[in-house]
Amino acid sequence: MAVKTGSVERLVGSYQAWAANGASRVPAWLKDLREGGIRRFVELGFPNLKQEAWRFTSVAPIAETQFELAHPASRIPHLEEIQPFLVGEAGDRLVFVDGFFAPALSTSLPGGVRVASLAQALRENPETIQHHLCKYAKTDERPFCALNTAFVAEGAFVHVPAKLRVAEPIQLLFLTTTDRQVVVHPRNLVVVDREARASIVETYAALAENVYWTNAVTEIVVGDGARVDYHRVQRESNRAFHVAATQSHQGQGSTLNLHFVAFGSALARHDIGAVLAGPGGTLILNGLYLLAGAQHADHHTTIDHAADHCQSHEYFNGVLDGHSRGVFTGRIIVRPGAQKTDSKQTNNNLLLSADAHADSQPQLEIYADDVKCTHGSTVGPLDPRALFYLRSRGVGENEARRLLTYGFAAEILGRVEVAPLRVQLDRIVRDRVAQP
Amino acid sequence: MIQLGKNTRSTIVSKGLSAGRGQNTYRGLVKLMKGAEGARNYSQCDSMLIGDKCGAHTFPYIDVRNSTAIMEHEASTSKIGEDQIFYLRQRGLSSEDAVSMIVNGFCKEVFKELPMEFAVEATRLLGISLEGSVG
Amino acid sequence: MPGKVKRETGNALLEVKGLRVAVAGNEILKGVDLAIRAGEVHAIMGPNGSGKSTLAQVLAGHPAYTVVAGSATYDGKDLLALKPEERARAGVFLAFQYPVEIRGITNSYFLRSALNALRKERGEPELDPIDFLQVLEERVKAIGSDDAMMNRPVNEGFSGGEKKRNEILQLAVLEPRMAILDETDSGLDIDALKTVAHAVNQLRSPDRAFLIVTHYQRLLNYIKPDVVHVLADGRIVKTGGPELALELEAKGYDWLRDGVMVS
Repeated sequence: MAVKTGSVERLVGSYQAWAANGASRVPAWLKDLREGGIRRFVELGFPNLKQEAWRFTSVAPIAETQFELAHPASRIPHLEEIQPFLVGEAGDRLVFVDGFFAPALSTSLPGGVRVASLAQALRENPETIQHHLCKYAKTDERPFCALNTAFVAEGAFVHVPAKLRVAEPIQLLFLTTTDRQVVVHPRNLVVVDREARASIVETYAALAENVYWTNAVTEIVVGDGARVDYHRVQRESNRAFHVAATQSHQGQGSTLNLHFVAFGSALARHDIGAVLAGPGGTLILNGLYLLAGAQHADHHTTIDHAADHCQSHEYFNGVLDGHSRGVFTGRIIVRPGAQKTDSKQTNNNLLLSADAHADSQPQLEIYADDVKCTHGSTVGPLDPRALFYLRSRGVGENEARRLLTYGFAAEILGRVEVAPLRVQLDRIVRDRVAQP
Repeated sequence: MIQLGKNTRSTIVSKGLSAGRGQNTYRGLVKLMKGAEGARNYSQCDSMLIGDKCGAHTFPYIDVRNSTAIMEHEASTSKIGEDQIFYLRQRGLSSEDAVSMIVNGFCKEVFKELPMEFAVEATRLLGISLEGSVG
Repeated sequence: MPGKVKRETGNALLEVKGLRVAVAGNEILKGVDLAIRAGEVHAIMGPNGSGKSTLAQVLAGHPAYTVVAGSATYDGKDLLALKPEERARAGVFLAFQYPVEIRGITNSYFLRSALNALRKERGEPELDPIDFLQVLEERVKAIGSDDAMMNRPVNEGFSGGEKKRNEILQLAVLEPRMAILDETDSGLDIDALKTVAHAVNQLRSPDRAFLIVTHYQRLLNYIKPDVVHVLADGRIVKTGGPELALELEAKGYDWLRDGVMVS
C-alpha cells in the first residue's frame, strides 16, 4: 500500500516554515545537518511494506495523520503531576514538556556532570556536540532518523567527564500534555568519557490519552573503560505514535547495559543499534514489550561486533495480549577480525490471547571464525506444566496465569539495578497483568 | 514451513559449513497460522566456519498467530576447536583426518536421515568440497 | 641435583632433560629432568600451578606450548620433533584432564579410526567394524568395564566420571607403551576412582610405562607407583618411593618449598 506523497510534502512545508522562522539562528554546521536531514527524508520518503526492514509494520497511520509542530505548553505541570514518571528526586533531571525544556521542573546539580538542554548546550559548549552529534545514528536508510535530524533543536545533552562516577541516576523525562495532534522530535546526546560511570533513565510519557507523535533519536557514546547503565521507558498514551532510534558506540573495555521497556503507544517502532568499536567491550541489551488491545510494537536491534574480544548478551521478552502484534528483529553482525566474540541473543514471546500475533527474526551475520554466537527464539503460551504445578499447590487458575505472566516479564526487570526504577516498572507490570 | 492444521509438528535441522571464502546463508520461514491449534515447530540452525575468511549467516522468519502453538528456534556458530583437533591427533589421526571426522560429525544429524546411497554420496562430496580448504 | 633419589636410569623409555616450557610468554616448566623405564609407574604430584598438566600436554605435543630449552627422548627418538599424531602412533597416549566432546561421531567409530591409524603405522591390516567390535569386547572385558558408551557421540553429555572412564577404555584398546594420565582422578567419587584404578592396574605390563599426574594422594592408594616425583614452581624438587606420597598427604606441599630437601 503506497503512502501518499502528499504527507512528505506536508512535512517539508512544515520544515521550511520552521527553518525560516527563528530556527535558523544556529551555527552553520548544524544548519547543514538539518538540510541534509530533510533532503534525505525527501529521498527516502515514508517506508512501505515492501521494504525488508518495514515488512511487518505499516506507518500509514502516521503518514496519513496531520501533525503540527508543538508550541510551548500554556501550563507547565506541577512537580506532583510528574512524580509518577520519576525515580526519586535526587540527582540531575531534565524535563521536557511537549518537546520544550521546562527549567522549573528540572535540576542541574553542581558536581562535574554537564546536564543541559541541547539548545542551551549548543549555545554554551557547541564543540562537544559538534564532535558527536549525528556521527553514530546514520540517516542513510532511515527516513525517521533523517526527519529528526532535520528538526534537531531540543533534547537532552549529558556529558560525564573522565573518571567521574555519578551516584544518582540522571533522569530525562519527555512529557506530552497538549491535546493537539503534535509531532515532537527530541534529540538526545549522551557522552560518557573514559572510565566514568553513570546511569540514565529516559522516559516518554503523557498526562492524557491523546493522539500525538514522538519521533526521537538518542546517541550514546561510551568512552574507554567507562560504564553506562541506560534505561529507556516508553509509556506513551495508548493512542500515540512512537518512533525512535537509539544508537550506542562503545570504546575499549567499556560496559554498556541497555534496558528498554515499552508499554504504551498504539504504534511503536524502535531501532536500536549498538556498536562495539573497541576490543574487550561488554554489552547487555535487556528489553521487554508488554502489549494489549490493538497495540503494535516493532523492535529492530543490531549489535555490531566491530572489534575483537567483545561480549554481548541480548534478552528481549514480549508479552502479547488482546489482538496486539509484537515484531522483533535482532541482528548480530560479527565483522571480519572480530575474533573471540561471545554473543548470545534470546527473544521469548508469550501469547496470552487467541488473537495475539508474534513475529520473530533473530539474525546472525558472521564473518569471523573463532567466535561463539548463539541465538534462540521462542513463541508460545504459558507453560501448562508450570500452570498445573501452581494449581496443584492451591493457586487458582487465573491467579496462576497472572503469576506466570508476571514472572515472564520480571525476568527482564530483574536485571535493572536502579532500585526505584525497578519498583516503578514492577508496579506497571503488575497492574497490566492484573487486568482481566 | 507453513502449518495450517491442528496439532501439526515440524522440525527443521540446518547445518551450514563455510570454508575458504564461502558465504553461507540460511533463510527460512516458519509460519504457524491461526488454525494451527496445538502446533509445534523446532528449528535448529548450526553453522561451522573453517578459516577466518568465510561467513555464516542465519535469517529465520518466524510468524506465529495461534496462542496454543509453540515455536522454538536455536542457532549457533562454531569453528573446529584447536582442542578437538589435538585430541584426535593424540589418538593417531592426521590433521586432515581430524578435520574430516569433526565435519562429518557435525553433519551427522542431517546425513543420518538420508537414504544410504545418498548419504554415502553426500559424505564423499563433502570430503571433495573441503579438500585443501584447511591448513 | 638436590632432592633426587639416585636411580638406575639406563634403557629409559622416556627421558626428559632440562625441559623448559612456556605458554603465552610465561615460562611454566623451568628445567624438568625425568627418566621412566618400561614397566614402571611414575607419579607426579605438586601444588596447583606447578606445571604438572603442562608437562603432560607438552609430552603429547599440544601446539599451545613452546619448548624453550631441553629435550625429550622416547624410545631413542627425539619426541619433541614428532607431530602429535606421530607420537600417538609411536605409542604415546595422553588421558586428558578435560576430554573434549565431538558431536555426531560415536566413540566406536572414533576409536576404530584411531586403532586403524596405529595398525597402518605398524603395517598391520585395518579392522572393519565387525572385527573391531571383537577387539573392543575383549579389551573391555580385560579391564572389567562395559561398552555401554560405545554408541554415544564422543563425550557428549558424559559426566566427569564417564569421560575419564572413556579415556581409560581408549587406553585399553590402543595399548600404548607410554601412557600419561593427566589428573584422571580429579572430579571422581571414590567408586569411579576405584573403577579407573582397577582398569589401569589391569593394563600394567613390563612393556608399558605410566606417568600419572595427580594432585591428591588418594589415587595412589589404588595404583601403587614405583616412583613419586614432586613438581613445584616448574621443577622437580623431590623424588622418592611410594612413601613420599604419604608424606605429602600428611604434610602438604609447603615443607618442600621451604628449601628443606632431604634425599
